[in-house]
Amino acid sequence: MTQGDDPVLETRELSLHYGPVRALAEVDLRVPGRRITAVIGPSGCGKTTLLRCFNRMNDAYPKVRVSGRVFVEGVDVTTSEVDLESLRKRVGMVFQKSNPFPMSIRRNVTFGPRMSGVRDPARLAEIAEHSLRLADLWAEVSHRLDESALDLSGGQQQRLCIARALANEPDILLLDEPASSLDPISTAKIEDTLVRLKERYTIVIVTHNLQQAARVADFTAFLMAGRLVEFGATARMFTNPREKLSEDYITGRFG
Amino acid sequence: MARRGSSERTKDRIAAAVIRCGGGLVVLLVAVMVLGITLSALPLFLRARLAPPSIAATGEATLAVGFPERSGRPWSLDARGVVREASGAILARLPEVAVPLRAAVHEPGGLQAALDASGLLTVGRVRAGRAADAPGWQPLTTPLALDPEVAWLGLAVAAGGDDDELAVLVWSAARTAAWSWREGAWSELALPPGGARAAALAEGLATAALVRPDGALELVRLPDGRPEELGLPPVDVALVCFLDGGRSLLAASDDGALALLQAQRRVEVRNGTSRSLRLRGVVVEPGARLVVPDDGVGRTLAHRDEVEIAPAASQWRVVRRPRALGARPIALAAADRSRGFAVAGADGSLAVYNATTGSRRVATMWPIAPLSALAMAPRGTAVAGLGPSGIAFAGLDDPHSEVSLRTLLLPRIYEGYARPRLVWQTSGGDDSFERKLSVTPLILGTLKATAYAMLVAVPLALLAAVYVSQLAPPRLQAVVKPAVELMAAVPSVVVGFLAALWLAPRLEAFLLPALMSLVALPAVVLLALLGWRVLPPAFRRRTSAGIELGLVAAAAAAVLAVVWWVAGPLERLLFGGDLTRWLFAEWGLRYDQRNALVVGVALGFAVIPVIFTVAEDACSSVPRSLTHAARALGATRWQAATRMVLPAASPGLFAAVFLGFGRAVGETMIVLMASGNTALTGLGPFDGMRTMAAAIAVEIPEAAIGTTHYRVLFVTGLLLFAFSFAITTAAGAVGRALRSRYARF
Repeated sequence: MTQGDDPVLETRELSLHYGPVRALAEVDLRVPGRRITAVIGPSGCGKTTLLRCFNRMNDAYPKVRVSGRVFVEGVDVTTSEVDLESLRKRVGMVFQKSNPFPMSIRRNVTFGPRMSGVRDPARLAEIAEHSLRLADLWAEVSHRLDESALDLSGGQQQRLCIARALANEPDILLLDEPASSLDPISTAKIEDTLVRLKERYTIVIVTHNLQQAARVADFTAFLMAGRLVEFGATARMFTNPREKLSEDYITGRFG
Repeated sequence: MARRGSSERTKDRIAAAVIRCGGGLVVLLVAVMVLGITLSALPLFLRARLAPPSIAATGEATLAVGFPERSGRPWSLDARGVVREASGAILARLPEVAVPLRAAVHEPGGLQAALDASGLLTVGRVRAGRAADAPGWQPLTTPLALDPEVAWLGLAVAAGGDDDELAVLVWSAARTAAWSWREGAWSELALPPGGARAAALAEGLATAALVRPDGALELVRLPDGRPEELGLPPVDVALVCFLDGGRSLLAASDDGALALLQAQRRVEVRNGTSRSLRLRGVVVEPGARLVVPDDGVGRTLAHRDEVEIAPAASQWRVVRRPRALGARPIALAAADRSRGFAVAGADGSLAVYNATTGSRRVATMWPIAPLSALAMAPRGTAVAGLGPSGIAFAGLDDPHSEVSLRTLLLPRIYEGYARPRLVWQTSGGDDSFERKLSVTPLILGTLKATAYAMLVAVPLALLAAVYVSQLAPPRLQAVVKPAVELMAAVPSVVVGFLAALWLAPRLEAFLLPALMSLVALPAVVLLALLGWRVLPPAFRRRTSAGIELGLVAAAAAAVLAVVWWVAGPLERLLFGGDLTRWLFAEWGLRYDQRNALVVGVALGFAVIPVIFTVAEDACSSVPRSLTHAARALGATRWQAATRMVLPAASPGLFAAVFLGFGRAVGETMIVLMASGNTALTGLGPFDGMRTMAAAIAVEIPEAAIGTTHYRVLFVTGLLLFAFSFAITTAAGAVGRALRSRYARF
């Protein structure tokens, strides 16, 4: 921890099994606040699984067994006492494949607030505009908020999903390879958005794309076969990795 | 490589051709089917056709004309008492009459009466088959001696209920007289004093109609001679004629106006209760007497000891005014069994009408005029007019005269009914029975059965589909889905059988607890939902998925037990121990054992798997990724299911409901067995019904090919087809509209 303050997200000896298959093995990770942390690693190394531990989305999959602790803002979220709905409102998530609901843009953005009981149309409109502006989408869709979200382009859809997650006013934003299926221009837009957002949000981004990690992330965690190999400031990771495995991966010897 | 390409292309071409042929064949088959049904139904709406009249010259002064039972060729009776065929061949000779005859008449049922010069009145029948070997005239009574001094203008004869009961009516400008023939003797019947210019006697001998010389119509009840009530009678009446076994009366006025009158039975009700009674919109205060149209009122009240019911005089009133004749009417004739009648005008015009519809079927100029007598064949297949030079007769091809779009769809005043009603009654006790072919009760019955079934099936099936696809634990899913699909495999005849013979009697016996459960079950589910929210969150989180179902089931079972335990004492306390009897006594609600509730449950059972399967597929086809997105946004499972999955799956859900609707509309066996098949128009849950599909299934075997009944059943089939078509089209349109808004994943 270069910052010295308390981490916003923390895992302690976190292991996770899908049935007999171990996906995470004793991961100890401390994610600092208001920074972008990238999680990199070869396919199947457990990046996405790790991400889903922070908002308990692993619960949605059958036969998942978790041991160890996960702290979100200092609170252990692995216990059964946790209110999943409020946890997930604090920890927003954007998925690898953009998944707007088959509804209007407006209803997509306001879905979270509506689920928490916000009914006032003026308040909802305000939330929608604010979130869309944060996601840098307002200028493109402000004139057609009531059209189907499915008519947007791929990049716009992904930014809509970011806006939708932001509408819940979360503290933490988890992004699972948000630009993996997008063209370079859309990717650049999303990266710009993320860099702007880090002033207010703690962002964890899973990515396959090392250049992307190098471009946007302040910290990088390298995961391999479910183990955390190395974690540190991105600049150092990419110039002077401590581990041989990290160096091999970053220099493209495998992965 | 090139050869392989070309062989692939050939295969493609063959496959395309086969597919195109198959598709075309299906369309063609449907088209042929619809065309076939339409062609069977179409003759109902064709115009009547009158063949060109043939003319048979008659020598002597001919007095009467009539048709034998099964022939389109008339016979005539001349003043010498000779009965001839149209060809001129002598059929019979009236014996022992003093010629020339003064008057003669041929009435429905083959009755003939003749009044001879000496004032003797003879009644008999011509027996056509016997003409060659025996006298064709069969006397039915001994001759009746009338006052020879009176200048009798005309005579009428009619048969009573029994074959050996007859009556005759004679009239002159100064007096009328009637005699009845019973048990071998004539006795005079009481009639009010006064003469008549025309008169008629009803078959069944219940009524006589007298037209006074000033054109006033008077109706007299037989045999006591008391006047019947006549509401707004036609004026300046020239001729009268009873139709349909004496249940309706045709009156033709001097100006050519026609009026059809019908008797309406009435009862006098004395209200002996301490409460006021409400009868057909009229309030009868306690202790008051009131005369009301019977129309079922008597039957409804018959169970109440405090209410006295006594028969009152019938009221005759005009129910239809067929299109007027252009000239003064000079002769009337009614067909015995087809409810047709013919009217001849002084200008030589002739028109044929149908009494049920009141419509004019034929209007033509008759080749001979003026007519002195008119006759219609018993089944309305021919008409004959007697003029000075002979008889003109023509075949009439109009087998479906009683049907029009109006009679099929709109309420009508049928004979014996006080007000216009929608009635489906295709057969009756006697030949003069008026068929009531309104398909509206069948349409209503179909819609009612469908509505009740949908009321049962839609909530259950849709909720089950959402639960199974979104909320249920996988283990439960694996059990419920095949179980529901198994429901679809139960043959509908088994469902109908169980509903009619197992469910219906039990529902009748345990009506109160069943109705209470109907309210209590949804209530307990709702309460459980609310209660679940109140539970401490920690407890909620610790329970695994599926437990809540067990809890709700336990709560439902508990409530059911309480309901059944309470129902017995409650029924004794409030409803005198028998709810169905109480409903009938207090509200006049008749509880049919096979009713809409039974149909709703049974038909609902058949529809549930249809709706469930499609709806479950629709819900499951909403990508999991969307459900995960909703959950990641902090939506509960319930919110994700109702606020995201339901709108997204709405096209599929609509398709499911419409599909279920189509299934319910066309379902035959279940409604046939469980609905009671009573063509009622009441929409209440305790009434039975008859659906279009059931009517077709029940009646097609008994409807002779080509008859009106048969063709009306085809109209019903066509309607059923139109229904299904409309539903499918609507489902498609709604589905497309919704899909363009929502589901494009």
